[in-house]
Formats: sequence, C-alpha cells, structure tokens
Amino acid sequence: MKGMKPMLKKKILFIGLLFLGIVLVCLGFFVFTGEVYRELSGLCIGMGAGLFGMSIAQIITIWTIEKRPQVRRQMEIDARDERTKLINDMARSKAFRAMEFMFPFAIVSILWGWMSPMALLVIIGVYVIGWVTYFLYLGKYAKEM
Amino acid sequence: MKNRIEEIRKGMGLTQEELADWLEVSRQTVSSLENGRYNPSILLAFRIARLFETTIEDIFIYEGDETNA
Repeated sequence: MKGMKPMLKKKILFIGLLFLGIVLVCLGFFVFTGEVYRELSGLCIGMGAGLFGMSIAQIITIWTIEKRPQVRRQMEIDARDERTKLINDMARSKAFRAMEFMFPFAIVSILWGWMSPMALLVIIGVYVIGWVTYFLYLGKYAKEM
Repeated sequence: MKNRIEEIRKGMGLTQEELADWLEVSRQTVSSLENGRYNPSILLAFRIARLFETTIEDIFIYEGDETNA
C-alpha cells in the first residue's frame, strides 16, 4: 500500500466498505432470521445500508473528481481557502461554546432518569441543536465576510 | 482596511475568477477581499503583492484599530 496514490487508496477503502455493507445487509436478511435474531438482524441491515449508501456516494465523488481534474483542483482550493477555514472555525467555535452550556442540563437529565429513553432524546436534541447553531453561524459569517 | 485589489485587478485585465485561480483561493474570497469584508492573512497579502508586482502597503490601506470578526 506504501507509495499508492491517496485517491486509489480511498477508492479501495470505499469499495471494501461497499462490499462490507452488502454482506451486512445479506446477513440481516438471510442469515439472522427468526424472532431470536430480530435486533441483530435490524442492526446488520441498518449498518449495512448506511455503509452501502456512504460508500456509493464516496465512490461516485472519487470517479467524478478523477474524470474532471478542474473539479479536483477547485475542490482542493476550496478545502485550503483561508476564508472558508476561518468561517468554519468561527462557526464551530460559537456552536460548541453554546453546547458547553447545554451539556450540564443533559447530564442532569441522565442522572435524573438513569438513562431513560427521554434522557437519550435530550442528548440527541442537544447534539442536533449544536449542529444547527453551527450551520446558522456558518451562514451568518459567510454573509458578513 | 481598504484595499486597491479591484482597481489593480481591473488594470491588469483580470476577472475575479482568474485572480482567484492565480492566488489559489475561492472566487468568494476575492470578492470579499475587494469589498473589504475580509482582511487576508499576511501570507495571502504577500501572494497578492507578489502577483501584482508591488508592495503590501501599496495595496492595503490600514486605517486604525480593526479586526476580522
């Protein structure tokens, strides 16, 4: 693998993950059948479908980039662009500073209900709010700068 | 901070896209620089000055206490 082009390495990785996804979905559907394996089957199908979708998306992106060097260059420029990086950092910083204040409430909720489904929902809610805040600031700074 | 990027760019007959391509930044960054909404890092300022074959002081006009955010 040493000396291999990073793009080729990525392609091999995602093709591997694609097959892993297919194997997991097949295991979920055809191997772990019956009431005993219901949860395991669901887990396999869920994870397999997720891996399959992500890998397909990544492979299509890699193929598109390989066919169009101009697109590849533009993506590299955008990834290195100092203003984009600054906007990202500022938005992330604001969002996660807000999260710092919200997490103690989530922890209290867990202790109160001892890992009840509601507490789990609160944690997920906090996480989602954090990311929504991040995207809001991303938009705000992109307009300001 | 004011700057003369747009003036010099137009003088050289370059589009924003072409300048962005030369500087290896996004077109939005060039637009933000020209509008004075974004102040470049010292490295980007040097790259701009080198491309325009002039000095940083000739392009950027510092007007007092200012920050990016």
